[in-house]
Amino acid sequence: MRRRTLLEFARFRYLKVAALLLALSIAAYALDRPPVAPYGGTWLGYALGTAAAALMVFQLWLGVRRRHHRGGGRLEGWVSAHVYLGVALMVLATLHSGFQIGWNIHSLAYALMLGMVITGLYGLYLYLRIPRLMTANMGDESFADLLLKIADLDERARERVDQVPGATGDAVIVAIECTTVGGGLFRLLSGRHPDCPTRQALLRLQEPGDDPDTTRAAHQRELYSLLLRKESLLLRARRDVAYRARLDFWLFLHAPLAVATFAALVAHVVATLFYR
Amino acid sequence: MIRCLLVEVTRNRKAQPIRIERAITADSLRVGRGADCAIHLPDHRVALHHALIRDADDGGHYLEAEGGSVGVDGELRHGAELAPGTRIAIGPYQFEVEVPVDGVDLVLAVELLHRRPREKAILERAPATLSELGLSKRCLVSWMGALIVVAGLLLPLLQAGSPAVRQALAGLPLKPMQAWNPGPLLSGHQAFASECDKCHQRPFEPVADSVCAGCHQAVVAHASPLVATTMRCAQCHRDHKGGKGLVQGDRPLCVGCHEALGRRAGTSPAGVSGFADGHPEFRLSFAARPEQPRARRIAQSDRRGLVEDSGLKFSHKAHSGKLRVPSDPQTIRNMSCADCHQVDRGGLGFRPVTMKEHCFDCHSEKLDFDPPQEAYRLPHGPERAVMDVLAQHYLARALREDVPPHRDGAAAAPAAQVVAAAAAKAQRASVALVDDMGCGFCHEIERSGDSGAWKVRPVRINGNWLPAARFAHDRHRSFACADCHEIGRSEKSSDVAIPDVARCRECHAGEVPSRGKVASTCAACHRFHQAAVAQPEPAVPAKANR
Repeated sequence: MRRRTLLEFARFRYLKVAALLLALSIAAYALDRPPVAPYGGTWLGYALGTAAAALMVFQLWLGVRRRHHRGGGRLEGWVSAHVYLGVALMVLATLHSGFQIGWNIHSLAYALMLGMVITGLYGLYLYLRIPRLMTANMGDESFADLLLKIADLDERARERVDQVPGATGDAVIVAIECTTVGGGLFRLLSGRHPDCPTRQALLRLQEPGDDPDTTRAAHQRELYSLLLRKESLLLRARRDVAYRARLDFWLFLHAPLAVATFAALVAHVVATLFYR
Repeated sequence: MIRCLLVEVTRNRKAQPIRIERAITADSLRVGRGADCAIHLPDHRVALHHALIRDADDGGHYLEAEGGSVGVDGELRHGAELAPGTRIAIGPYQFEVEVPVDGVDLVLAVELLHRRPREKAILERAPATLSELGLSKRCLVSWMGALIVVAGLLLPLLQAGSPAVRQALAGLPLKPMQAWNPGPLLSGHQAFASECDKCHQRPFEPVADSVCAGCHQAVVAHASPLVATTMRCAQCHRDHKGGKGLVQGDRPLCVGCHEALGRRAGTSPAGVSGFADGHPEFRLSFAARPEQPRARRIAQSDRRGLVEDSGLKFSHKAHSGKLRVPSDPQTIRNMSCADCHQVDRGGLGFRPVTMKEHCFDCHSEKLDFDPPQEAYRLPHGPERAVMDVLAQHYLARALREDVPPHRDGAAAAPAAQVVAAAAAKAQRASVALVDDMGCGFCHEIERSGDSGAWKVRPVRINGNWLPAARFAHDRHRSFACADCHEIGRSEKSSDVAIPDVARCRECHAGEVPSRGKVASTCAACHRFHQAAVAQPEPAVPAKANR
């Protein structure tokens, strides 16, 4: 049986809550005849703004709860509500703004909120997709197994590299000593290593020697076989690193955007009340 | 059935082999890291189920790769015959097939050739997680939050709350308070756009009406005093909305109150819910005559009451089309509305129709008198002036004709007789003016008693029929006058030809747009800041119409 995702929690309870909230808000917005044009200062604008601010506080509360779990329902339910009410927040805040955008703290709060929700949805997508990809990538091995096998192949290659002197041997030594599974932000997120030393060594080992029947040629073939196996393991290890980095990275966007949205929301409320 | 002797080979310090033998009997032998494997190799470089040893068809044994690769003589294979002397690499282990001994089909010597390497070395060369890369969520969160609190909250608060800071920042391009500006001001308020405290004088309090009245002193209050006590300027006039700020919809501006009015005493118009279907019929204002205390407003459905008392005799029918000019019978003139009715400079109403400008060209003969000997012309003015001209004229003529110069022996007529005869002539001439050949041609005349004395009734042409509304004739110039005013068959000046509300609705919808019609708010015709319906004034004041 397929495992139920957090979206389906309690038979879509929070989807229904969010849909009801949205239906009421959109109907009120459509029926409202504001004095000038729809904006945050009409009675409906204030109501939508208050509801959106309450949702925003609830969204942040999840961040607090993740660290200090003190009962009050399953975390899965909280995350389910977090997702659905986050989308509702986006629509409510849009209606609250009355589609009036400018270069000010009010629109900044709105833009940050949009960024927060969109990165949140990206995170949700990753959470729904990446664990399955990680399982498929790993098979019955763990990341530590892959590293162990890579190190083992390196050891074996090291035992044979003395038999292949010259530039080819040097390339193999570089492949053994300088190959990485991590790297900078691009390598971590993409899992791609354009100038991988193992690949360079493999290209060198592919070059045919003067006499294919010599002992040196046999060693070269053996090294090629070892590095080829190492490369396939490297690909999987790097993919695993990339998956984990991606699962981590979206929070580097989502969390600061959430806190920035809250800060801008406070400034927005103070500014609105200060100059009425 | 395979009867296998498994020899686990280890080495002592001098690298001499130590052999531990173990007999296994099974249909097939699974090799791997998994606990269920008959040949268990506890190393993570070996797959859970790495390979399977089974009977071969030729009576020997065969090793078949399953979850991992198998190396035979340095080459990767899918399987291998287990003939004596064969060396097979499975992960870090080497399997050597030895010559079978008694009671055993297969002897396998297993030795761990490759010790467990330091697998973490590759991770130490480059960061493999974002935190190892030096990225910190806590750091990012703090910086972004602090930046927004400082730039979006603290600096504007400081500027708003401290005149000293405002003064210090006055000359700088840095304007933190602009971060709070929710939108562009009305163009008229742009001059002080950077001085928020000009209007927002007290923090956390709405802008007071007195602030608005400080500049907008000439704005008239709405008719109802209730409005002045219950409504704020900002209730209708929302700034920071660009050009939209002053445009109000019908409901908040008018309909919200006027729909329910009538239940409150002394308020009108009542029950108005919009132009499309909630507007009362027009009530036309008739200017007050001196004997009347005030102007009358008569509903258009009251056809008998719609009678204009202008004091003039005029037929619109007789003044349209090709006509012979009375003062110059040889001339034919094609008359249209615009010959007399010209839109004024404001585009709302019309310039007054005057005798001098609009009637005289064609009707100058009506001022001529004492034909046929000599055509004299009367002034178009008060009766007294006309009488004076007549008296002077006949007296002069009598003195000239009836009192000849003294001759020898001839007795002159007594002066008193001559003067009396002249006065009688003047009186007769004045009485003649009453008929259709004189003043009475256009004016209604009031006679007093049998003495023959008369005077022209004061002219009171109704100027503004709908003083509570503004109708821009100029903006309707693409239509013909007769499209709205039915004057083609009007023969009397008492006829009223003001179009009714149904005629307006042929082109105008209410606030909500309707197909083929112009959307029209209340403010299209009415003004909010209008104290009361003004007393209708005659369009042609008596003194101006000379």
